[in-house]
Amino acid sequence: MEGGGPGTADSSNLESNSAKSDDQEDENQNEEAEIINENDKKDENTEKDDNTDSAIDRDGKTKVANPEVKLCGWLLIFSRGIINTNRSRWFVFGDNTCKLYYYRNPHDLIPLGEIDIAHASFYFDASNTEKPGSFEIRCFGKEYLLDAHDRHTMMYWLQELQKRRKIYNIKKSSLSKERLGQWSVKAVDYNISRSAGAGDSTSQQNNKGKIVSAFKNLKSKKLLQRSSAIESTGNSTGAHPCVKCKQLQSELSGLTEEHQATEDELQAHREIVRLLQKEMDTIRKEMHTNSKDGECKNSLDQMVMFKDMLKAKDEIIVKLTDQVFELETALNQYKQTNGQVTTPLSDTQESLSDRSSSASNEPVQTVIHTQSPKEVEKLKDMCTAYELQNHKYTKLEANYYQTQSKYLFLLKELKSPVRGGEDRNSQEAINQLLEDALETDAERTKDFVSSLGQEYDKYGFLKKPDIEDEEEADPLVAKATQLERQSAELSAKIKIELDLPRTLPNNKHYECMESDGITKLRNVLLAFSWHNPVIGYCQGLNRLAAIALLFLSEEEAFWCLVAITDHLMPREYYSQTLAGAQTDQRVLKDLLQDKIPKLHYHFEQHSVDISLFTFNWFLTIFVDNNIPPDTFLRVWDTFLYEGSKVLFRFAVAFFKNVEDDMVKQNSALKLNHFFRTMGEKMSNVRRITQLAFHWINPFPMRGISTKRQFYMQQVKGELAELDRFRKDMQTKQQETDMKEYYSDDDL
Amino acid sequence: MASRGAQRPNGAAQGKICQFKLVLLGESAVGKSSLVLRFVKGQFHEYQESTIGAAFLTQTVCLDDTTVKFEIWDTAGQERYHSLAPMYYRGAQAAIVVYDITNQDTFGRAKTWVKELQRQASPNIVIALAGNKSDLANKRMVEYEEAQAYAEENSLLFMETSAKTAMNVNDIFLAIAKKLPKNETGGQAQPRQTGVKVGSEQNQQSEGGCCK
Repeated sequence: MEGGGPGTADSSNLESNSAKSDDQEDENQNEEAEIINENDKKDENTEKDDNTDSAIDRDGKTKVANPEVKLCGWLLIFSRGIINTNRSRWFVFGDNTCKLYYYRNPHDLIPLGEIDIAHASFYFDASNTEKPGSFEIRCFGKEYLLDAHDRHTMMYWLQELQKRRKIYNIKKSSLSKERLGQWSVKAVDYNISRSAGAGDSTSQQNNKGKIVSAFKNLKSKKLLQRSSAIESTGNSTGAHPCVKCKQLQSELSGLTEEHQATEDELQAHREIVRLLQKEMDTIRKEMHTNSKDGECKNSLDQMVMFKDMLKAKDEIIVKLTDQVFELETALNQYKQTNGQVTTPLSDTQESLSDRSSSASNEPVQTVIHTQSPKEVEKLKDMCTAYELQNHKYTKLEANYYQTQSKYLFLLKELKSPVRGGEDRNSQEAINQLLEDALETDAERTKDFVSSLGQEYDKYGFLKKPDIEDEEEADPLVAKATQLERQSAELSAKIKIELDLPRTLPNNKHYECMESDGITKLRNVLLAFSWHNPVIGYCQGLNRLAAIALLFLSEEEAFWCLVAITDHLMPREYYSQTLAGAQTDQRVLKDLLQDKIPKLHYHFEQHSVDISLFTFNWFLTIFVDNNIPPDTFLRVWDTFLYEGSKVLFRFAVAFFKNVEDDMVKQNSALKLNHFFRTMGEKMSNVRRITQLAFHWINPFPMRGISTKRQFYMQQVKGELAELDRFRKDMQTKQQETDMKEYYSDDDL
Repeated sequence: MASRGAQRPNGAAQGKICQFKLVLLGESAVGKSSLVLRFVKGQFHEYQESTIGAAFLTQTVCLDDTTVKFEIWDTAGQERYHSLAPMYYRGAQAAIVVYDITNQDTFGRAKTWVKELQRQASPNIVIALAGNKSDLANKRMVEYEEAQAYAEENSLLFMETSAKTAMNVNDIFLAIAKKLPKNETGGQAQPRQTGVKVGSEQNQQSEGGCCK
C-alpha cells in the first residue's frame, strides 16, 4: 500500500494479508496455513470422495509415487480414554487393501489394528508448534491421533497416503471395469458369484504360497520379515473376499443401471437442446428477414414519398420562376429605385435568415392567384426586397471569401514562414489580421466594461488593473494558452464520445448509444477530464468508470475514478506516457522470476514478452480479455481496499493458476495464443485468491517500492529517448517540407 | 463479401510454411481492430470495443505454393499509447498503417507512422497503407489519388478498405503475404490445412511484380 492517500490509515490495520514487514509476513504464513486447514476440513466434510483429488491438485509438486516401495515407519499413536497414553507403533500401508496397519514392532505378523484409509480424511493443525508432527486420521467416526515427530515427516506421510489412496482408487475402478467387461449379460449374478469365487480361491492359493515362502524367508533372513508381514496382512483381509466381491458386484450392477439411466436422460436432454437450438435458429432467421423486409418496405415507401415531394416542389419552382419573370417585367416598367446598401452587417444576417424563412412561405402566397392591383403591388415590393437582399448577400459572400483567403494566406505563412522582412506586404497583412482578431475579441468583452470604464471578469467581479503577469501582459500569449486549453478539452471530449459505444459493449448498460449507462459514462468521463487536465481522457478509464457505474451513482463513480488515479495507483499511471503502468510491467517480470522461476525462464526461452498482455490487466484493473466478472470484481474489491499491490498479487496468481498448462506451450506462437484465452481460465476465484494472498507470501511492499523506483527511472530514460527521436523526425519532416516548398517556388 | 476466400480442402496446402509478425498502427477509431476481426473471423461489429494496449490474433493465408501464417498485433490508437508502439512493431516483418478516409487528421497520423516504421522498424519491413471506411465514400475527406501518390512515393502497398463490407480486407493481407520474402523463415512450422485461398485474379494483376 502506498502511503499518502486518504484511506491509507483506515485500511492499514485491515491489511493483514499483505503485510508490510517481513516479521509480519511470518505471522501471516501461520495464519495462512491455518486457513488452508480450515478449507481442507470443509472439503472433507462436504465432499469426502473428492478429497484425494483436491489435496493432490493443491500440491502439484509431489513426486510421482512409487507403488513398488512400501510405505512404513514409526509413528506415535495417542489413545484417548480414561488415561491418555501415547505409544510408538510400526505403521505399514497395505497397497492392496488401502489400509494402514500398525504393529508393536516391525517383525510382528499380526497387526494390533488397522485404519481404513480409503474412506478417511486427514487433518492437521498447522499452528500447533508444540507438536509439529501431529496429525489426525478420521474415518467412520473414529479419530486416530498420530505424531510423526516433525512437520516434514508428517507432510510426507500425508502426501504419500493421499497419493497411494488415489492409485488404489484408480486400480479398483479399472479392475471392476475389466471384470464387468468379461462377464456375459446372461445370468450375471450366477456368473459373478462363481467366477469371483474361483478368482478368490486362486488368489487364496497364491496367498498361501506366499505365506509359505514368507515363512521360509523368515527362517533364513530376518530382514525380509517385514514384507512377509505385509503379505500376510493382505491375506488376513482376503479371508472374506467372496462376501466383499458380491457386495461390490451388486453395487456395480446397480451403478451400471444407474449409469444407463442417466445416459438415457442425457440423450433425451441433448435431443431437447438440439430441438431448441433448431427452433432458435429458425426464429433468428425469421427475425432477421422480417426486420430486413420491414426496413426495405419502409425505405421504399419513403422513396416514393420523397419522389412525390420532389415532383410537387419542382412544379412549385416552375410556377414561381414564371411569376418572378412576370413580376420582373412589370417591375421594369415601374422602374423604382433600389434602397441604399447601408444597413449594418447584423441586419443583413437577420434579413438573410428572414429570406430563407420567407422563401418557404412564398409558394403559399404566390399560388393564390389574384389579379387585384393591391396584390401585384405587394408582390412587387417583395421582389424589390429580394433584390436588395440578394445584393447584400453577394456582398457578404464576397467579404467572406476575402477573409477566408486572408486566413488561408495566414495559415500558409504560419506553416512555412518566410525568413527576414522580404515580403513586407504579407507581413502587414498578417499584422492586420491579428489585430482584427484581437479587436473582435475585445468587442465581445465590452459587455463587461462598466460606464465608469472599470472592467469586470466573466463572473461579474471587478478586475484588478494592476496584474503584472507576464503571460497576461501579452494578449496574444494569453489567448494562445486559452485556446490550447480549449483544444485539449475538445479533443478529450471527442475521444470520450468515440469510446462511449466502444466501452464494454457486451454489457447491456453500454451496448449501444441509447443504453442507459452511456449518458452517465459520458458525464463521469467528461467531469474527470476537466477535473484532471493532466490526464484528460485515457483509454482504459472508460472501463473503470463503466464498472464503477454498475455499483455507484454518477457522482460517486467520478470520485471513485479520482481515488483510483490520484491515490490508489502510483504516479503517472494514466499520464501522457503511461510511464507508471509501463514501470509496473517490469516490476511484474522481476516478481514472476522470483515466484515462478520455471515460467519466467520458459518465457525467456521463447522470447515472449508478457507485458504485451499484462499491461492491460494493470491499466484496466483486470477488466480485460474475457476475464470473468466475478474474478475481476474480486480484484477490484481487494484493490480498493489495499491499493495497487494487489495487482501484482493477482497477476502472479493468474500465472500460477495456469503454470502447468503454460509450460506445455512449446513455442512463442502457442504461448501468445494461450495468453489470448488466458482470461477465460480464471474462473476459480477461490483458488486464485488463495494463490494471490497465501501461496505467494512473503510478498513485501518494500521490495515492490524499490523496484518501482528503479524501473521508473529506466522507463523515463527510454521514453525521453523515444521522444527525442520523434521530435527529431518531426523537424526533419518540416525541413523537407520547406525544401519542397522552395523547389516548388523555383519552378 | 465477394472477397471472402473459400476454405482450402484438406491436404491441398503443401510446400513451405512461413510465419510473419504483422502489426497494425494508426489513429484511434480508424478501424484497426475491425479490419483484423474481418480478416480473422469474418465478422464486423459496429461498436468494436476499443483496444487497450494491444490484441493478438493469428490467421493463415495460402498462396500458390506457400502457407503464410500471420501473427497479428493489433495496437491501441490513442496517442498516449504510442510510447508502447516500439514494443509491438519490434521484429515485425509487415505493418498495416490504417487511416480513416473520412478524417484528414488520421491520414496525417498515418504518414507519421510510416516515417517512424521506415526509420525504426526492421529494415525490410513491408508496409501497407489502408484507407479504411471506404463504405463512407460520401463523407470522404482524403482523396484516393492523394493517398495513392503518397503510397507510391514511399513504395507502400495501398488499398482503400472497408471492414464493414469486407472490401479489400483479405486482399490487402494477401498482397502483403505476396510481397513478403519467403526464403528466410520458410518451413519451420508443421503443415496446416486450414487457411484462406487465393482466389482473386485482380490481385495477381495488380501485385504481380511486387517483389522489388
